[in-house]
Amino acid sequence: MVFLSGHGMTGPSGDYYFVSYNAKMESKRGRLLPVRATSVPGSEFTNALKLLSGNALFFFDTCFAGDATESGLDYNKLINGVAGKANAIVFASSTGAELSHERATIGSTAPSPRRCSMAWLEAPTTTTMAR
Amino acid sequence: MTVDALNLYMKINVPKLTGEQQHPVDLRPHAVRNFDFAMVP
Repeated sequence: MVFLSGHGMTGPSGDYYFVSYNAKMESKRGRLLPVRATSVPGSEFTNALKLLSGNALFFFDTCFAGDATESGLDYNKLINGVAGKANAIVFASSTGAELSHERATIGSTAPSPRRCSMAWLEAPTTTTMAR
Repeated sequence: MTVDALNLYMKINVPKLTGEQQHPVDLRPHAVRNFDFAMVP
């Protein structure tokens, strides 16, 4: 089970990078991208899932998680790579035309949990889900 | 909890939680069937 919740971005060729809290950024060909050593490329997730013999669950909660967008963020390559090359079920937090929202407290600058991530985590404890 | 049950829960609740601003998407290979992945105590 892989649970990815936070910030992500794509490079010019559509390669996905998970951008951690302390990632360093650099300008490449006019685009601001995370330094390789301080981020996790999508290929690492795909390769790790391919090594699994059983089924995998891939929870993916970053902005525009479900599809390509006109803003240059295109996560299709990662999602199709995971679902197509591994026995992985992908749960994306939103469609391509939507932002994945945080549950921010008004006036607070502290990082907040993402709404979809919270729903995934709360689902098993919801009484209506119990058999 | 099964994969399908989680999907249903998310498709009903996330739009409510986000005021219809966010709609989860799922992608399951055809060869992978529905299965239990979590136990509710």
